[in-house]
Amino acid sequence: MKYFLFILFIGLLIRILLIGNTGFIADISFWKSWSMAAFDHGIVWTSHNTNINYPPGFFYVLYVMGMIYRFFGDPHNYNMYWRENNFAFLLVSKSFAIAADCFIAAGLYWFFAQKKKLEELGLSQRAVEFIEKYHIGLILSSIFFLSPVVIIDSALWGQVESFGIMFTLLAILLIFYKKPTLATVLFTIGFLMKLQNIIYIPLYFLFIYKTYDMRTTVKSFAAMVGAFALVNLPFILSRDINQSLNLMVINNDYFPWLSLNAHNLWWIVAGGKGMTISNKITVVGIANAKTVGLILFSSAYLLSTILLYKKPSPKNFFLALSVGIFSFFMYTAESHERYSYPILVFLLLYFPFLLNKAKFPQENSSKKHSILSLVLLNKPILFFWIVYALFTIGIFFNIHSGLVFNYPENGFSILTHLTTIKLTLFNSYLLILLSLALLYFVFGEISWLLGLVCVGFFSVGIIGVNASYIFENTVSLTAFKPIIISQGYGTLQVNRSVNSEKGWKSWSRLSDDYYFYRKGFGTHAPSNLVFNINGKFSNFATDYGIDTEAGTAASSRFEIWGDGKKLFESETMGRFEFPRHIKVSVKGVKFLGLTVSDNGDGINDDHVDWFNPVLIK
Amino acid sequence: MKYFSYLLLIATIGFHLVLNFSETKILADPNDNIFQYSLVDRTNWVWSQYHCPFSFQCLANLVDHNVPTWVEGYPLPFYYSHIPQIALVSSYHLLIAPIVSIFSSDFSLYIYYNWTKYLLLSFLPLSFFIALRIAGFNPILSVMGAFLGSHFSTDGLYGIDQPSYLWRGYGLTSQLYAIFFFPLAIASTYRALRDESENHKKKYTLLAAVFLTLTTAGHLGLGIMGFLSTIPFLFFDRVRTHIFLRMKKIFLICAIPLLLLSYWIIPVLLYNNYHMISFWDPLWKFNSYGWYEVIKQIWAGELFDWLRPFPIITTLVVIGFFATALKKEKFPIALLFAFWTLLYFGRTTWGGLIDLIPGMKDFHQHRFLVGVQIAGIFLIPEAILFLSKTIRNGFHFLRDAYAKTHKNTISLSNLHIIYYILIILSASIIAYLTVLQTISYASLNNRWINEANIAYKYDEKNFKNLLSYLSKLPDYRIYAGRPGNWGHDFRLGSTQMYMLFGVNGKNMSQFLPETWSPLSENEQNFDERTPEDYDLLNIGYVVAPKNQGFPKEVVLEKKFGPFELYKAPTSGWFDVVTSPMIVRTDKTNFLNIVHLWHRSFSRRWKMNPIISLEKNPKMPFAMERSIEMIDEVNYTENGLTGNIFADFPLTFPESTPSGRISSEKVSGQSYKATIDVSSNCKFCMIMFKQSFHPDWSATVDGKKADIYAVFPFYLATPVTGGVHTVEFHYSPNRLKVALLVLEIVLIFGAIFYIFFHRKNHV
Repeated sequence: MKYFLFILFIGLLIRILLIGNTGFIADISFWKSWSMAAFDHGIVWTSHNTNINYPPGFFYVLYVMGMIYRFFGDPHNYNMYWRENNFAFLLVSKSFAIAADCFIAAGLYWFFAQKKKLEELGLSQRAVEFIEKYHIGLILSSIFFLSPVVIIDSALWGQVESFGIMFTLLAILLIFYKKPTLATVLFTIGFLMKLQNIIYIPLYFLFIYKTYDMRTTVKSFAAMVGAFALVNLPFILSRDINQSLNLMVINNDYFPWLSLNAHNLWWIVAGGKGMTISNKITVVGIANAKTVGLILFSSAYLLSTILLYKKPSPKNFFLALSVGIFSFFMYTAESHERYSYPILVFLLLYFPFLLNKAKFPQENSSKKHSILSLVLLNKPILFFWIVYALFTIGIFFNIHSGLVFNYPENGFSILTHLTTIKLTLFNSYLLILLSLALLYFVFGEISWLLGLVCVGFFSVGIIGVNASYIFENTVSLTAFKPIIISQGYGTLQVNRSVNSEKGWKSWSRLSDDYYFYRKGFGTHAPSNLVFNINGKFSNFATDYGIDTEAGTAASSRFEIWGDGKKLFESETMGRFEFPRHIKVSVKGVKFLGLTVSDNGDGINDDHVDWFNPVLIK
Repeated sequence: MKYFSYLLLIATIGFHLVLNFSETKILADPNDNIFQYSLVDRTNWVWSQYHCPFSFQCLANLVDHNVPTWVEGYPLPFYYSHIPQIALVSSYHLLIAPIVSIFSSDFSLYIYYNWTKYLLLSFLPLSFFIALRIAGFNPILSVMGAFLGSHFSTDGLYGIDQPSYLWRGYGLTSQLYAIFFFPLAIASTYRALRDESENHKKKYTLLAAVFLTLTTAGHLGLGIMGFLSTIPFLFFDRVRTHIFLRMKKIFLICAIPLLLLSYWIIPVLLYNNYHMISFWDPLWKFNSYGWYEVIKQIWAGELFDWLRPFPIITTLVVIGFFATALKKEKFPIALLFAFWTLLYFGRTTWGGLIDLIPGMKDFHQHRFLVGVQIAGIFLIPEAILFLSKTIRNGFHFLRDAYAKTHKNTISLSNLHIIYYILIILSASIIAYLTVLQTISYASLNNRWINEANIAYKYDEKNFKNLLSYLSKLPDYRIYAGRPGNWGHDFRLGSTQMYMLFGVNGKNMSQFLPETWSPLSENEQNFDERTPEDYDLLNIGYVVAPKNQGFPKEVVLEKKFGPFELYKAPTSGWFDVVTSPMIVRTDKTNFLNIVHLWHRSFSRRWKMNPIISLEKNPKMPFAMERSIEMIDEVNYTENGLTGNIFADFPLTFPESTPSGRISSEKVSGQSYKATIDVSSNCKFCMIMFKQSFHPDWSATVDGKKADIYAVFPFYLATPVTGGVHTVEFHYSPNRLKVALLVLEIVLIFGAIFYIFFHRKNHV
């Protein structure tokens, strides 16, 4: 115990030294703004009147953050509060994640001291003895607590990944201790604090189902709904649950880029400029990066699901969670650099199960020597630790570069100087290799033939989204998502008029003076839509006109552009004119632009539509 | 407890009887009941026209007749529910009218109609109660479920709640007929598949079939939902052999209504291409709202608790869902709720996948809410049971704890009283919070009915005089404005005039209570400033509050108080047109080209192309042009693709055909005319201004002639120059009649077989 307390002391000391670093200044500013609003005006008000994009559970943390800060200073003292180096606020805001770090470290230490439970969970007696004898629990919790990844995230950056992980870990432990209902309540609070935890839901319930039965699964599901309702009670009581649900989906396309500094597949595709290239670029056939990323992620996730379904065990649960979260980080576009972090915790929990098949060193060896001998004697364990070490290096470098790309002065100076685009690309390749390395452990449990199922799933997905391109001569442009969208009013509507954005009661078909169309884009002048069609088509045909819902003042001109060159310009169109038709050659065109101008007389009533736009091969 | 439950049930029904009594005093509806009652009125017309019940033609015409009231005529009963209308009209003539006439002479079919829907609505809790009893709940839980089930509240989402039926709501009476039997069908199916006893199985199988038949007879859409609702009951357990056995039983349950209603369902499937999908209907009707909106609706309490301060019924349904799912024998009911919630996401979420279910392409998927709500009724009692058990357990825990520390200081039996007081108090609070919204909604309904009736009576005489005057004039269509113009505020009482004429047996234009007719879209292209449009739609009369800028050809005939009657130019029910081209299309792709035609000179020159929905259309003569629509604007002609706006495919005739209609006669469902056609008329057709349906037939000079659809979607038959007598007649579909006869023979055969079989056994 004293060793653990020592580690805790060292870890805390490092963190305290780093707290004064202003970290990711934008995030800290958000905490300031949101926590002040939450404490001053309440949760529901904050959701409406700030730019918050966090799930509703996190509002309580912000509320407490705001409350605690008042012991140190007055948030309404503008100059004091909003100073970047407001140490009191840095201390308060970073304390939550640091406390979670401590809690997780203590949890790991405690868990690996539970001999009986470890045996129950499938560890051999020999492995348990080894864990006890060589203080593996202490080592694992130290690896976590002193991990540069954990320290940089909570104490330097000021983020709260560990807060979400803490709830997930607690939930997992409670499942092991036959408390699935309470576990699910905490699990739910976890994803209502940190939304990416939502990724675990299918694996979590599959594990409950396989560990217990359908009845327990239903109960757990009920607990999830109940916990969701409780957390959202302020919204329910103010009849404003829509706002809370909106917070759960608001992050979709919030930052529509290939990679949000995540060193993953899309960082490579972007050539290290993930934050400047749209996630809607066409990459496979007519499928865009976002869609391909989702299919890739789903295929990998399917593998983890198959693993857990075929061989449900705590060991495989941790492995499946590792594969699940890392696939999410690695393959989805719009992924953040920090999304990979939880794998470092799940792999630590996975490791002891590798001891089951290990060859143990001779009894008379010295401790240090024994652990080293164990690693050297067992190739899988050696492989695991090499992979783990590389994961730690890769993820740390990724998070650090994410920080210093925005705030170079806040990183570790030597590393900041070493950080180049090339190095980040190298890191991305490394992390891809590491994600493949996980397959070694997966296919140690299930047949590699099951991997073919996932390959099949991926292939079907890719063929499915490309079906019209492969099998037909024409492809509707609505199959593409624009890489650039700008318009004078409302949001772009697909197969509906622009006013449809107001909600289902306003949904209207596309039409021009009551000539109706099933497909197309409803937008508003001045409008600019750019599609990445990658030079795959010879002609583009479309109808266009003013939507029936427009007022009589509408007047617009329609233009078609190919790689910056104007291919067509219409005459001025008015509200009561018939739709017009145009067909232009787009041979070799990579970027197709559809723009609509307001004809120089203001944008009033300019509800404009592109009807039935099709690309011809 | 049983009798107490009955008492509560009576109180619940009594509550609705008192609360909604104003519904019996309605003088005119402002909602879909206009459509519903017009169908009753038309059925009543058939009843008298075909000498029902003692004539061979009666039954066939009752189940299949043309309804000329809206959208240029459409055989609605061919596709739409007609059995409730027949039941109403026949019971009125055979039972109600003779009895009531003893006491009063003033009990019209309309009053009877109002009473039936009022009673059905008020007695809905009885249906819910019986269904819950069949499902195995005890009387007290059943009555609580029935009570809460009758207080669902939505913002007019077309569910089973009161806004769907009441005067200020939507008037979905046809749905109401089906709703009455839907829960009974579900409960009986559940029992038929759950029970061990063979006798029970047989009894409930029969009941399930009967109730499913009645549900389908009430509303075909809800009937389809009834059939789909049987699917979750396959999964009482996951044993394959059991599932297979239950599949067989479900097949039997579904086969009976399918067999009994095959005379209706089979022709609907065979002639589905004349049942249109409308672009005018809002997108959410066909596609429903999608997963995100539905989840929002559930969490916001909008599916059960609209405008309640706390979503109390929603909470009970959610608790009930889990409590039910935890019980093995009730698990399929929870599954049913999940099933309908998933389907309620609709095409907005499932895309083309949902069309794999037969009939979904034409289905208004937002109506799946009905499935969600009906399943919800079965979850409520389980929630109440769960909550009362939880309270009891909590109470026992407290009592035991108290007893340990206060020995001999309190009588434990007294604590039971506290428990019951607690339960009654909770139930009363729930009931109170629940009924408030119902009362609030109904109070305004009653007040508005009263106000509308006063306003109606104020000008009723003038309206009746107008109707009386119109009945002496030739029977042309009437235009009284439309929802999007001055017609919206041109009312008698609270009802728009364009709605009221239909209820009084008049043929209307520009009011669209249904959009199934292929003409329903293009009828709306009418422009009241264009004289030719009156002629095209055979609008002979305009009723307006004042001249709205009508063309000079539309002249004032007479004033009836606030109602001005105008006469408009029309050739009558017939016209001579030329059809040198044919347009082949599916059932929606023709809409834009017909609209374009309407706005072009081709139409003014009476060039009405033939339009065909058939794969291999017949043609009366060699066509100058033949095009095939490939989508809503593009077409192919001789292997080349064109666009209707860029390439304008409509031909111009060499000359406008001329013809003179010398006489015209309407008799029942026959329209006859003598027409003089000029000798140089090429590609000549006599157009009859009713929407095309294959059940029409035509004779020219007494000889059977082929019928065609011509733009906009009218009936037509080819003629040559000269004077011709042309007659168009609507007859019930032959297949329908044959199936109906076959079914009657089979039913009587079965009855005789059972009767003699039993007698021989005895």
